[in-house]
Amino acid sequence: MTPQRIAVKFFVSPDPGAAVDVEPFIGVFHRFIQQGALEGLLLDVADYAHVPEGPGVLLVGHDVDYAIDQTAGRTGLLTTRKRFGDLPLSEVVRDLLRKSLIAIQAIEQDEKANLRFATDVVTIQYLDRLATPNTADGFEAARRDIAPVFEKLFDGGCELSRAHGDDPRKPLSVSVTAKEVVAADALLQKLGGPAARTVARAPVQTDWDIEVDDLKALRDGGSDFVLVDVRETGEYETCNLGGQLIPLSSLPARIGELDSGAHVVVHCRTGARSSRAVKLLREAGFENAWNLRGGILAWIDRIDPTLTRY
Amino acid sequence: MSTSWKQELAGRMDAAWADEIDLFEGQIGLRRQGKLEDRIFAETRLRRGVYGQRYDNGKRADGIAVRALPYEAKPTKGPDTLWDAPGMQRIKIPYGGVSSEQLEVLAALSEEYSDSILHITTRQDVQLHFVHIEDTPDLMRRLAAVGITTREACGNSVRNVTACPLAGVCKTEAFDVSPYASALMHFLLGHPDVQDFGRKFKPAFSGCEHEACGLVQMHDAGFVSRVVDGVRGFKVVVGGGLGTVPHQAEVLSEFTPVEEFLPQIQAVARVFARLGEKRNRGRARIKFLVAKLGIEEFRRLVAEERKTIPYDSRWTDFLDDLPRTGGEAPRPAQALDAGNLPEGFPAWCASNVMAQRQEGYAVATVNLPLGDLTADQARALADIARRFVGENLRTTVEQNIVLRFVSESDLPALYQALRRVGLAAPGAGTIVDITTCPGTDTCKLGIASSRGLAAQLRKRLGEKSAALPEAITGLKIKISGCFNSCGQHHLADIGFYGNSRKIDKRTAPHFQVILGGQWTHNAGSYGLAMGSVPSKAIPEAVDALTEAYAQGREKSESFQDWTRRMGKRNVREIIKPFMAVPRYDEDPSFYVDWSDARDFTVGDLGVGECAGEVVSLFGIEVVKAESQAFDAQVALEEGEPDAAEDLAYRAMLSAARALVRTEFIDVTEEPADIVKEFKARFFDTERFFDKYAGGKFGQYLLARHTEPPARVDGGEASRRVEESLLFIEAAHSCEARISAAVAPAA
Repeated sequence: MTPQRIAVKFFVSPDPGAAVDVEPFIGVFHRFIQQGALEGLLLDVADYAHVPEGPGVLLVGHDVDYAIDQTAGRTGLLTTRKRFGDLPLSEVVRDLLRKSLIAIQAIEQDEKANLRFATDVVTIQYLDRLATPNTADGFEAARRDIAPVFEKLFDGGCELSRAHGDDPRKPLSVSVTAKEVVAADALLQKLGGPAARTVARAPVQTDWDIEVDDLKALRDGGSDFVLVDVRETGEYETCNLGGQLIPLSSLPARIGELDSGAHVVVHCRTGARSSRAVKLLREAGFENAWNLRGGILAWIDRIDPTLTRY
Repeated sequence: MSTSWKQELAGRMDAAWADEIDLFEGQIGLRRQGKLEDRIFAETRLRRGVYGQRYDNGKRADGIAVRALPYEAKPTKGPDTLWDAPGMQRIKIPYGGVSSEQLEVLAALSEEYSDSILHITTRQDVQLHFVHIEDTPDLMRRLAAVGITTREACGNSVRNVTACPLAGVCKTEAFDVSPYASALMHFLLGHPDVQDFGRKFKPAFSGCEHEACGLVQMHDAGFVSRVVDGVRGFKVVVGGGLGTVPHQAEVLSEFTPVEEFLPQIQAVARVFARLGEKRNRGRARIKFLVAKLGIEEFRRLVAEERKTIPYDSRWTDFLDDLPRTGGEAPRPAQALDAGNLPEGFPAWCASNVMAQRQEGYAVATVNLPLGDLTADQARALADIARRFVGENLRTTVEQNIVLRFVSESDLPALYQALRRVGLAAPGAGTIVDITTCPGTDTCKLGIASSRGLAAQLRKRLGEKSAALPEAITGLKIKISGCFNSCGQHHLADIGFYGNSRKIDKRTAPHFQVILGGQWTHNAGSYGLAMGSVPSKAIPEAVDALTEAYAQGREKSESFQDWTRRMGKRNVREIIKPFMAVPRYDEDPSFYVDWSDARDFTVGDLGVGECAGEVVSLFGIEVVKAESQAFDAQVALEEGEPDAAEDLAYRAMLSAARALVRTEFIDVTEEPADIVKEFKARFFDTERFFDKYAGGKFGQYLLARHTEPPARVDGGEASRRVEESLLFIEAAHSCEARISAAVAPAA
């Protein structure tokens, strides 16, 4: 039966029992939200660092929560799926593992986070006392459901055992231990679906970034604004958004063509040139100039795939 | 095997409670189909304790800009409250009494529907955060099956009935108030006479007058136990409250026998429902009605009302068999064996343990950081309670949990059991045991991070607490995230409430410092505002204040007496060096709140939902006027007529500006501009005029502005202060009339 919630926990490496200062994750998780670094709708960060052996710092999402969890004195990334419609449980678990591994990669790439994770041990918790009680039968049913997922994932085989004892008040938990260590990358490839970095939105480019969704909203809403394209003529001919073409190299000379009081959105191919253009404009007194984060490529990826990608 | 909680728990819930939950589930379905109006649905869910949470309007500042949170388009669950946005569930715990079984259910609920954290509030409730509305019916069923209801945990009704957590074991109480608190809760729950209030109504019980525990003086209704000529009864007080305008409760009756206290409170409820303000939420608590009528008239009305209420056998039925409010002590009373005590035990024992009236038994306090405990800790605590104290657990208004009836000989073993699960922090009731509201973490009204500041202070003070003199460790710190006082900052030695200041187009989080409030005598007097300090400088300001007190106090002078003797001005000098905010390029950390990483903003502040309340722009701005008027009264008391007169004038200007800003947002802060706009828009048009007094109140400001007094004496200042209070009152009425006129017909 499908539980109310399901959670997976990967532990930090080399020693999950070592003391970890979780406070830097307040910044790390806020950055993940700013950058859209993880899939799905991310809502907020909750700081529980003051609670001993608690959820540490929690990144709250709409469907999925991520916590640098310290339950039982063992630090790890606890990823909790809160709603999953009618998907079969094995699919839910695969997706949850994928999301968790993507988050692990993002954390490992973050200098401030400074944590590494082991991917050969994972605990799965079934949070539902009614549908998935913590009983011997419950464990057998869970094992039947999810063993195939892990056997496929860990080539060298794995072992499933009941974790957290048989206290009926506690959630049913299964611990999976792989016989061979497989890196997060390789696990993610097996799980399929989009990988971390291509799903993520482009990183912040300026203090004045807007998203392609924001630009779309401006256009759809009939707002009064000027779209400036700072690419070269040849690029413009390949594909364009109908903006006013002022290549970056000629912007200083042609800046007078633009009204410094106007609402200006600047784009290029990836957001790099337009970042410089926006800085130039801001310095010249344009108080309402914005950079299209990710450029026309982001627009093509997320709004209009019919345009030519180059 | 059951496939739903409704089926599983059928027959294990109170039938009426089960029906109500089914009804609520039906209403959720109707609202999803758009068949129920959003305002009605909002009040419905609030009355079931289902609250909104920060960012549920779908807007959130991520540190760079305010972004829309792209929730699916669904009907809202209240005005501007998105369906899928997570919310808070408040769970009433009458008189704080909670059993092991109930704790276990709460733990399970926190894991399955929330974030595995139980939060104890300043009114002995439990709150779960990040809860999805569609999970709430099952959550409520599982609570109902163990005797807990969330009914009227929010909304304009009778909120949780609180009581001193030591009731029944305290050495100085007249008698145990818990059964009476329980009786009041059951009598008023869902009672027809409490459904038509303009605002919430909070009752509290205390066993003794001089102690803090019940805080009855700050409650809408308070009951202090008394025995007169062998008869049990209560001293009953009404009309207390904190909020932006704190009031001390007034005595309704010096002695009401227990046979009479339920009908009497019923009469109070009926008077409040009939005469209390309904339209202007900022004036709707019973404290305003009591202040307006005067306590004598209020008392007379209650007595009249009492005569008209038809007899109800429930008034006295409970007296024959008082509600059971605690289990038997499972362990025999035995003295502590002083030999071979575990490490850390003496310190914990000194701050967290208190002898009971019952010889050989003690109360042990579990000092929870910021009122939080995990699901695992809650289960462990349930086991510990079973082993040592049976059902004798209580939540406290200081956001802790106490274990009662611990045999003194068991204290070391209890300490070790608590320590194994991280629940043996010493310092209960001391300076590290900081009370705080949720603030910006989850509350829509929060301005600054009260919890972030509390965690920081707790950490810093905890590290050096062993070295602190007793004068300092005995102080109390309480923090609210905004002026709404949920953290009870008025009652602390050192209190704070969140606000913000603009510096060069950027905003920095600040806290207003409130000093010298009184916790004892049931919150017998309130603290005074000393000025705003940036959040990031508060820890240093606390160090400076506490050190100055420790060094400057005379003998055993209390902090309150010390601040009074020093005077507001001298105390202000102590915190003044911490008031400056460095420029952003010098130190950007001042522009980021505690427990946060984003540049601070108040741009995503939501609309409050406290009791369905809508806090308007006017509501937010008039607070400034009220605090100036408050300061003016203080100055008057301190014999500073010039300052008092000037503050009173400024208070009128602020109130006038708040009104003007509802129509003309860009009005400057220049007195001349404010008066000009106020006169043209509200005075000359007679919109400010009172039905009876005409232009009298408006004239107060105009006259004072045109002709400032050449010399101010006490009488003049006193009149000005009085005028400012009336002017603010008139501004509230004016705003209420205008917003009523523009509001769509209900």
